[in-house]
Amino acid sequence: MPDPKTLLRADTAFGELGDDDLDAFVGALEVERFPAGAELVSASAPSESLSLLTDGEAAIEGPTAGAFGNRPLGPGTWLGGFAGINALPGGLRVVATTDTEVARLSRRGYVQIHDARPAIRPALSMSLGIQLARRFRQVAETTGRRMGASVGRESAQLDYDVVVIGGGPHGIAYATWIKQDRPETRVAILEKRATPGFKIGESTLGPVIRSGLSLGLTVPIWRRLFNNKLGLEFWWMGEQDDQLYNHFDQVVEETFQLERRVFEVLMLTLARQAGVEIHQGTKVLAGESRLEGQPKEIVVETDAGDRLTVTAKVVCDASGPAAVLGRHRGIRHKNKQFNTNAYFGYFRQRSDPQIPRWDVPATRHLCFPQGWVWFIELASWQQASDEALQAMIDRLLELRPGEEDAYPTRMELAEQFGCPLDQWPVSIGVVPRSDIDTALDLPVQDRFQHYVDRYPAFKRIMATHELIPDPYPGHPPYVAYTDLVQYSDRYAGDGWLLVGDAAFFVNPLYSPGMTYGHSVASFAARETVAALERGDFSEQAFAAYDQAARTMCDALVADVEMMYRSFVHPDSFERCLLYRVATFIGLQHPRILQFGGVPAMQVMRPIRPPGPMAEAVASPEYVSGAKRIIATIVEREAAGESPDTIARAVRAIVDPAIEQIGALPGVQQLQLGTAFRYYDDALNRVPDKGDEYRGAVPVWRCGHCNNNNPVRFETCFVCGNPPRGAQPVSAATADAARV
Amino acid sequence: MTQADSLEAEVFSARFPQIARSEEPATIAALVGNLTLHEAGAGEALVAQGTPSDELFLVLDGRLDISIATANGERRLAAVDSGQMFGEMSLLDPAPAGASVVTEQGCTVLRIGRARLDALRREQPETAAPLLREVIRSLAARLQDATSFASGLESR
Repeated sequence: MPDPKTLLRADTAFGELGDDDLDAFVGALEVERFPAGAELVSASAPSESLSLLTDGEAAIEGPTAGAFGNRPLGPGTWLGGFAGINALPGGLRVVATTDTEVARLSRRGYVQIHDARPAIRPALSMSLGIQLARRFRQVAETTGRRMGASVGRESAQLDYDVVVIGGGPHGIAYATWIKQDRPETRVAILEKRATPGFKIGESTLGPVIRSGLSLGLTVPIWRRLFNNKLGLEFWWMGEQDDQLYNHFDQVVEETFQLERRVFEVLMLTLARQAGVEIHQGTKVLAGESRLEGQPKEIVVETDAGDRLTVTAKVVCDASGPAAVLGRHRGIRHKNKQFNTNAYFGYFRQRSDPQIPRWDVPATRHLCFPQGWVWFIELASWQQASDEALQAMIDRLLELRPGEEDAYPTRMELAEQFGCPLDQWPVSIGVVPRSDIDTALDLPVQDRFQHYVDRYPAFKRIMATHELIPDPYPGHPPYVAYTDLVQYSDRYAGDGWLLVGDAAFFVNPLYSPGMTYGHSVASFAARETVAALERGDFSEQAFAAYDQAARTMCDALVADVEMMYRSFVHPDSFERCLLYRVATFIGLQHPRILQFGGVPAMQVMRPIRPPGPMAEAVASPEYVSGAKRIIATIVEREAAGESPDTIARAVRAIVDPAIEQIGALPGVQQLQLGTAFRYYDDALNRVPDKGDEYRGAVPVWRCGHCNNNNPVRFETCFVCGNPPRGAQPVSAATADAARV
Repeated sequence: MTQADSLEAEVFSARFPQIARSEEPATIAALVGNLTLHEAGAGEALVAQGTPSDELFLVLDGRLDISIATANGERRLAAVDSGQMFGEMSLLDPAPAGASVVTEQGCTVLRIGRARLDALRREQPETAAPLLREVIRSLAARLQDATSFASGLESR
């Protein structure tokens, strides 16, 4: 069999080296033998060494392997590599097809040799480069396509049925649902970023979790990767003292606080498994694309600088705030009427703020006359490399749909895949109304603190938190977003549609973007499939979607404005929160009863959201009620009425409605009292139900890592420890030995 | 055509930080000394489709279009801007060029052919190393990109 030196002597680049240099290089190689079937290069774990195949044959595997043609890799082929010196693109697996021998050069060996023998470095680059260039030609020939700067024969087009601009949650859900409903559809996602990175938008409600389940993301995976929470907590605070008022809680189901990079890597992986083609590092050039008529011709620029044309019957813009199509068409606008700003950062809680029920695992809202503050605790994987994170996610998806007991704990996964875990940084953001934001003229870094100083209760809580100055790469200590609300004149036309934040963005409260964005995307997927079935891509074919998206946007704008305006008074705050929930329950209680009432909601089922027209928030009853409350507050404020008088006027609208809903027999059967600490089954306000109240989702809090485990767990799913103390505890009471 | 000796290594380093990073200024000066400076006029073809080519080009200033002749006429595929290189494929695996590379408004490039590079590798390996490192990095990135698009074609 050929030894490494003989092989290298025959290599164009190494052949020119002197004997001393060549011997030194060969001396740095470690020869290893592998049986047929052995993995020589892993697709997910980062490669640690560069290998020369010296005997036997190997094959490239992976989603893009077909591009390399069917010729096996033989002796003399370079495999693997390390940072900056790669024989093959990442994400490919190389497997021995016969018994093989390889000569490995470790990174350390490389560094030593290149200091001692300067001729080796360029020879190695040249040798690898020649193989890369030949491989490149092979790819071009295999596909008959022209790529890069100097190969190929003719330009080819990528042709799809549906192209999605943007690989965020809504684009992924839309693409995957289409693929599930109509598997023969050719669907591609064009994502600008090479890999998912930091985004804000962390809290989720049940519809997002159920959507995730419908896309293949199981509950054990949610639990391993993300911090869970059981609902929402609201308090009201004013400028007069440091107390919190009118605590309102809603503990109904286990949902999760997302670190968006992790979520998006996970969802992209699921989409790929479902057959959606994903092109990352691919930017759409709307100005150079032909978006009218059929087919759509979308010009893209890749990270390598190449331009390609992608054709599609339907283009869905899910590019988020970049709103590629909306901006290009000039149909996207900022809302001038009622708007908010957001100032946020990341913190660590250093001590207990001594606020009753602060410990309940939930997204916490501190509402105040100008707006509100969010508190979201995260499990952060920010320190994990892209490769390690992907490997961990791949492993979790392999375990699907096994019993949850068979899954490693979160900490075991962190250890096994070299993914450093940070529990729990707290995302905290102030969201004031633009019209009464008193911090807008201050420097960005001072705006958050302005509200801390202005509201004594907020100040008291922030005294127990410490700022993380550099939470994410490129993330300054404080970030400001202003005038958040955006909408579009149109949401669809002939063969195009807008979903997610690319369609509209409403003021944040109750996670409207993700929650209802999934509902809009679900309807968009349904309408797209219908258009594909009919072969009709006319404006008319997407008219129902256009209308539904507009209805959703208008409803959410009114919903959220009502809530923000109600915050001017602690009484209106509590009444309007309840009015919102009560109206939804009134409208949807037959469906909730079907599933077994509130206690049954803790079992998460894979359910796609029903689409805008079936959402309670978009019902004419609720929207007209919200608009009536808004008008009442606005008119009376303009007339100079006192806050107490206005609060009484709000009560006069909402109290009869709440009473009526609470009296419905079907509503009383739901056992709403299990979901609310301060309300009974008929929605009457009651005093705090005390420590024995267990909430709709009973959990015990781990005394070692502070995670909240559903009661059926005998050991903590994060750290593997059993509970300290004999009794499982409820959502509301922490293990006494909290660390 | 003039020798690039007069070109300051700093100018090169500013344009190609990915090559100059972590190298001694003397190494970069020596590398620049081995590249040929070329001022191209507007519309000049630096590479002509179908013609043998073994040269690597580094764009100092200006912009070039990469295009191919097809049955339907000239088709523009991509642009190359200052700070980018082209011709890696031809340098490493010489063959008739698959596309033409033409300046838009005129531009300044540095060029090096295979024979010169081979001599440089033998005589001053330290000087050739940073350039070659960038060539393979760029090529690996392009290959990655090309295969991910190609897989889209494959699966149909």
